[in-house]
Amino acid sequence: MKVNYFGEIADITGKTADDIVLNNASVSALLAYLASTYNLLSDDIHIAVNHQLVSKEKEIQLTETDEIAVLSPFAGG
Amino acid sequence: MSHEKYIRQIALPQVGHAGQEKLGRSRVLVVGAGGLGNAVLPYLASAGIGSIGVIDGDRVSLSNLHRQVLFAESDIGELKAAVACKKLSKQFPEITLIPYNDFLSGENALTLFAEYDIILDATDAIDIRYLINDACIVTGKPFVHASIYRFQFQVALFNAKNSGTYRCLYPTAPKTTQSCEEAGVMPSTVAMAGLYEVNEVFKYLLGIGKSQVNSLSLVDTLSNEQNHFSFERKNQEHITRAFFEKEYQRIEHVAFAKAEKEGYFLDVREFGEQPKLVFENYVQIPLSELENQLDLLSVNHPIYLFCQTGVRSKKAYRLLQDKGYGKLFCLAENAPEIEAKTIKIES
Repeated sequence: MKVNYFGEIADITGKTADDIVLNNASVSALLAYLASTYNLLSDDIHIAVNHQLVSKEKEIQLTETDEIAVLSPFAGG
Repeated sequence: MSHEKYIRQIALPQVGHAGQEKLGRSRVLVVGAGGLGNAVLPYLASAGIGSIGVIDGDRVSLSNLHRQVLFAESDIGELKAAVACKKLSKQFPEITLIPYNDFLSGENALTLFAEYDIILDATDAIDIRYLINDACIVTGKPFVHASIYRFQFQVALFNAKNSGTYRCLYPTAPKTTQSCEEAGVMPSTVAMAGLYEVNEVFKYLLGIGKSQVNSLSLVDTLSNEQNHFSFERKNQEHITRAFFEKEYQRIEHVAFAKAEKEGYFLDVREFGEQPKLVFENYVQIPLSELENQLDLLSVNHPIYLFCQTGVRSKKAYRLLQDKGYGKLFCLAENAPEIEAKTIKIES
């Protein structure tokens, strides 16, 4: 599935997008992937599925065609 | 007020004389006179917003000038809010500009917000955004938010007519984020973010267009791509005046070197976190265990709290305050800074 990274997250991953394959794809599996691959902590990031921000606590299944965004609050002003 | 100056915007059917009257009667508070503040203020003023308040306790420095275009080199060292208001008052004498040469805090936010129709977030610190958000909920005011990271910015309108709030979007603050000072920024990115904010203010005050509510706009100025992320409105009934007063009341900070000898230094980090510290009167009780280990702490001695960044020590401060501890302080320094002042123990 397509995963887009924004702001500081893209600097940490070193890319603005990924195409990843997860077994039994879900938001929690995605969070585990981001933690193990990029050391991104769940507390510091927010996940949008098809442009809708989702609760990280709920078990949400993902499909191959879902468009994922990983973002975080920006500080600057 | 003569409307001749505004005739070009009055010509818009969405504005007209009635809209101009509305703008003239409106009161907008801008929190921060830095990059975003400098971008929004000239346009709020030029459109004829009747009263504009600006709160900022900071002073102009040389590295501000590339994006804070109201300031000149001769203003370096002067108070930003005062300089901005003085300059805009000359340009737009028919409107009222009110400088507050102070930082927004738990002590002044509620009184100040009550005097305005809409609050514009032009700050560069996430903790202040939670303060603005919570003060807006308590006072029932909408606020326009923008924030920047390098070539991208986020914009939304919160707490407007029962819309979602900053806490609905981001329930808790991340542990670390970079400001413009640290991450770097082009003046054009700040200006664009500010103009999106001003546009949200105009739409809200005039009741036109579609406000950016329950949805965050994220703009990438390198690609010109714009994404909208919708979020659910969550119940914010727990953000009451009592909650606000407790959350934002002053925390007593004290420097490590100024701590009294009979006091205890309470490290509320989890066991195993680095740097490991050991020094006289050092005690470690992780925040997660603090409530169950109060028998280890005397109420008679001063307690100097610290952690890794200051977030958990603040929570511990509130917890101990609730339990009746009176002699509480958060240390100005946290573990990494304290390590430099004490002898390191190899783990």
